Amino acid sequence: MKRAFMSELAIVRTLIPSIAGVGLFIFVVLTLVNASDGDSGMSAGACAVSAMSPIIVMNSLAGFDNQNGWERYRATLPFSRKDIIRARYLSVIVFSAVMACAATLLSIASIPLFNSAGIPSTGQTVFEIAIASAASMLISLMMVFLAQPLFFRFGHMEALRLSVGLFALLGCGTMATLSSSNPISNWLMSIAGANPDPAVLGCLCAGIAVLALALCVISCAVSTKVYRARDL
Amino acid sequence: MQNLLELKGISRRVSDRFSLRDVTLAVEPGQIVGFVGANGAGKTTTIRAALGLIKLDAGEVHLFGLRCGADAPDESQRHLRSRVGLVLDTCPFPSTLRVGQIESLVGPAYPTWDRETFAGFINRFGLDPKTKVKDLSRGMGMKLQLACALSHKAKLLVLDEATAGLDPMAREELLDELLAFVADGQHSVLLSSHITSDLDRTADRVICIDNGSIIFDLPREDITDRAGIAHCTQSQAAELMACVEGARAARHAYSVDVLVPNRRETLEAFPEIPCDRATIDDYLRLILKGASK
Repeated sequence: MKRAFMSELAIVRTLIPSIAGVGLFIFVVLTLVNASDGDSGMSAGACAVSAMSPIIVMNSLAGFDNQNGWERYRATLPFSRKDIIRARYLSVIVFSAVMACAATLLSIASIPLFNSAGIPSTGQTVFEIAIASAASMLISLMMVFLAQPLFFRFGHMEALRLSVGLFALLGCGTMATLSSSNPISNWLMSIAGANPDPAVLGCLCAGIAVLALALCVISCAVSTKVYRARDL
Repeated sequence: MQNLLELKGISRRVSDRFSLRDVTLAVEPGQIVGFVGANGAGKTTTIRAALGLIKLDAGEVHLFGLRCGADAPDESQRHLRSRVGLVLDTCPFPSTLRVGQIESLVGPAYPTWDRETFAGFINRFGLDPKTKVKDLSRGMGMKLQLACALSHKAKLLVLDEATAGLDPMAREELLDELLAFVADGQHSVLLSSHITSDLDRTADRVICIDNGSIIFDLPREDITDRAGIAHCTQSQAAELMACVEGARAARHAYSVDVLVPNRRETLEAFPEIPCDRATIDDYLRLILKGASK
């Protein structure tokens, strides 16, 4: 698997400049626009970058797979299909984590610039930005884990159409759940309301991480199964 | 000596209109085996089956004497594939990568990857490490693939229509590389092509596939040295077809070309009929399209 990951990194490295450029632009715009909303607004840029990175890298790598017959050629290299799948998941996770860390650090580093707008340079602010960024990345990763088997089964173009539908469905479901008064939304608002307890936030984030990990394992198993069955 | 690649009766239904049917072939050490056939005859599908890219309905694939194929255990696939080099008709690397970056893409796959060998080929083939894959010409793309295929001590090279679209100089260069590759008698090449003039020069054996079935598997000399094309009148052709076992005829407006398996015997028996050497092209055309008696 290590060899497949090293090979995958050769492609991931070429993505860094373009995704980092777009991420930086989004970060600057969203931070400037939302900083006036206080410390929760301050994390908007980092959250956006953390959330977009997993989806962009998944799509980009899938696009490369279908370019020039690379997927078929790669299948003739001494990698098993299991290696290829695991390397892909690891690449998406590592890239997402690096982008989320970079966005978080940038956001924290820029807090002093917004002290005059009423954003304090306190540990609480830093913690909230870090947790919000991590949660954004994990939720986005969960979406990626849901969609990734589609990419291995149907190829990039078909899976892109299907995954947009899937994401729209999930988005609508989530909004419907959170916008109405029900036990789930009430519970979420009670623990992550205006002044959330850091310990509760930490637990919530850890819970999302566990959920993401479980989804990753299931998704990886499903992807391996569908990819093994596929003719290349 | 052990065959480097062996397909034993492989079958696979691909679509309603096309199936591989009982394909059997072998590539012995030191041989360049030409794999010919019309477009859509099943050359690429056979190669995909040999490399374990598609599942089989029946039959077995053996690489270096060991059972391989899509259902083989992961470890065995890794081990066997590390000794195979592949060159495709189009450069398969992501188009935004540069030539110099291809090593970090392909190199990690092979435990036996040799950086110096790769750098040597890149230099020798005149490839600029800074050029993007999308900016490479067809010939340069093929050379880049060949550099990859030759940089990990492969024992078997598989080329799928690699010479298609190359100019004569580039084809010549590629064929020279292939001849050098098999010169030690330990390495082999399976060269799928419909440019049969390449095989006239290099192939030790020629295997023809049509509509998913192997039509013939012959030493190249049996085609280019032994077989012949007799240029006959209608009546001569009728006589020849009646007398010569395995003859195939193709009728033209004013003459008939008859493929005969043994040119010398035909010339002795019918000295009045001119009989030229057959090229692989002639042989293929008459076997696939000619009429038998």
